[in-house]
Amino acid sequence: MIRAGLISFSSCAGCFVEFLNMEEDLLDLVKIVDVRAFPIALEENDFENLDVLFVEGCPTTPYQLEELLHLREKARYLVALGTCACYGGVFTLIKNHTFKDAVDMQYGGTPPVVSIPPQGLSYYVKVDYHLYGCPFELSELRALVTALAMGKPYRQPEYDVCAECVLRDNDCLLNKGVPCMGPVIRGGCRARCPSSGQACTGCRGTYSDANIDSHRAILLEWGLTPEEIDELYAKYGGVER
Amino acid sequence: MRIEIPHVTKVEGHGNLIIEVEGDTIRDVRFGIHEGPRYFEALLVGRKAMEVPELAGRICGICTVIHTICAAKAVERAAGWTPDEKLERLRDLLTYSSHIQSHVLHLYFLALPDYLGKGSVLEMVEEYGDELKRAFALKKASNEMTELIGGRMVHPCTVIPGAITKEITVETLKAYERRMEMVARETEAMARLFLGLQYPEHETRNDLLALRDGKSIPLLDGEITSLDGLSFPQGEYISRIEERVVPPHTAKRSYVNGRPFFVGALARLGINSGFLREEARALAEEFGIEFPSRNTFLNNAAQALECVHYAHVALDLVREMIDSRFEYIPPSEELKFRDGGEGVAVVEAPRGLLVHHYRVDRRGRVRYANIITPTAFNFAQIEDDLRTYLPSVGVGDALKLEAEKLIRAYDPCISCSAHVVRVKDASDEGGREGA
Repeated sequence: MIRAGLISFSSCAGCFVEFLNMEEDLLDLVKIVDVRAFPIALEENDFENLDVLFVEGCPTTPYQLEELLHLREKARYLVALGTCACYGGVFTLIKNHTFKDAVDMQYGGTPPVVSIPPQGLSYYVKVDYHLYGCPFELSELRALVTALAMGKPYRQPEYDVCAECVLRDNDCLLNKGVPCMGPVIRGGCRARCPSSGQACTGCRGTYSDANIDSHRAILLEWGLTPEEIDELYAKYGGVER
Repeated sequence: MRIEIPHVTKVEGHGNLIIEVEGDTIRDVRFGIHEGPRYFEALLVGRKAMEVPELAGRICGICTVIHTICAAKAVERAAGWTPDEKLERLRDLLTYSSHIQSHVLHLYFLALPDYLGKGSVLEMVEEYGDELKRAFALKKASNEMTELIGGRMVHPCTVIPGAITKEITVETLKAYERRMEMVARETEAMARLFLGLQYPEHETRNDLLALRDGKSIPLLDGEITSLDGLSFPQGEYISRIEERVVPPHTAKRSYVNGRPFFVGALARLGINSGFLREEARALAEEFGIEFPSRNTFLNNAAQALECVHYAHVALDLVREMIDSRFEYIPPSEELKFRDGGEGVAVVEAPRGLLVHHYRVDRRGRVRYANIITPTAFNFAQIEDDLRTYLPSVGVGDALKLEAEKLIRAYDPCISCSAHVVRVKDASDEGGREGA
């Protein structure tokens, strides 16, 4: 049995919801995975000596950071579950404001707790595996758990969302003049957004061979300002410039 | 003596509970929220209004759908734009499937173990296998319906101001109908399970608030109405609902006429009790449950009945749409903004009233954002309810379970309560969770 724990830091809990969206497969999962800790669903939670710790969200308070460091030591493998754990997610956008302005807008000048800027977990600790996406993809979680159970390596996708669209015969949104992030963003998501008429907004972050310069050049040619392009790139915190 | 539950489990997010006891008397109860701040309203300021639903949807992974729809409506109002009938019907369908999904998740996975004397849903596998299979089937089907229109189960991507980005055909609607038929059937058995549980006798001393339109149990529009007779238009929320900071707590709490108030399924069914579908009404009668009720534990029963009600409402709607050969092609025109554009939308999230309020400039940029979630509204109420309920339980072994049971009956979504802030100091030992 794989001894597993799940913990949530600042997040929307959507990745835990996605985890539970395995539905009946959960009944099979618990045959090979001993879920020792999962506070959203369990009364008793034990984080000692875990084989694998799944982390949703990212720390935004000193206390959460302390807990991350503490739990990292107790787990053999740490998995960043979803975009917030991988990159910080949409709430990294708060970096557009000063701390003072953010506190003033949110709490009318009374900060309830000292917050630290959102960052992906790998900024603080060693992360063994990343499951990208907002939320992460269940197919990738299944592949990772299978790999761990069989002692085999897990390989993350290193191709773009365009490859996903081509496989599905989607009309190219970029060709229609829609500023789509598909060419630079990591595939593996079955091109969920472009398949639903919505441009890729980059929740899975850039992949290793992304040709960012060419993508930006196209958008510049269309008349977008560098600031507008930065804004597209920065939405989920997962794009290197 | 102080009884402390550092991390209330089986709720969404991070909350703690402190009960002050003196001899056999409960002196004080404090429900705290120790969620890390995410500054959602602040981060929206300066961004494009068109991407607000996508960003604001990330407030909550359980009720994203209603956040995206509420945000889209508020932005549309700021642009002075009114959605057409077709768009409204699609939003209705999305709302029904996502409400059912949220209720099923809460009822089976978070609330039920308490009533069956189990620590978690995992301990229910052997004894209650069939019930669990029903829960999985209901959750799966409602998720799939959300995905059919929304493009994804958690964080749907098609909801933007002015449109659903996906083309919707009769074929899509038929796929929705097939699933909702099963859901309508199975939620009846689910309602029997939850109506048959033994709920403690208890009444809140406060008012209940929900939307009312005088013809249905509305989710996406209506006046804010209370059981005790208050009624005011959505735009007045800011003057009628008071948010305060109460020392020594630093958390913001909500009050109407100086009192906390309840929002959620119990309020919806109480205020709109005349509009409950026959299928659900018959079940309530069979189990001797009447609405309006002020027993907040019955919120669980109300959620289960809502699943039956909304499944049938959705089924009628989708069949009507199929019969009229419904087809939706996303419009190509974009919303136009002007300086000083302001929009408020108040809807019913699964957990109760939800407010999104924006001001947008002529460049289409957000200048002001205010979001109040149901758990933020319920926060003062949960505490007040604990204070009146727990003395009847008394000091003893049952105290912790009963306290948590009442908290879970509210189905609090603590991540959601974006601008409710923590009670306890960050470094406080009592704030520790897990370890």
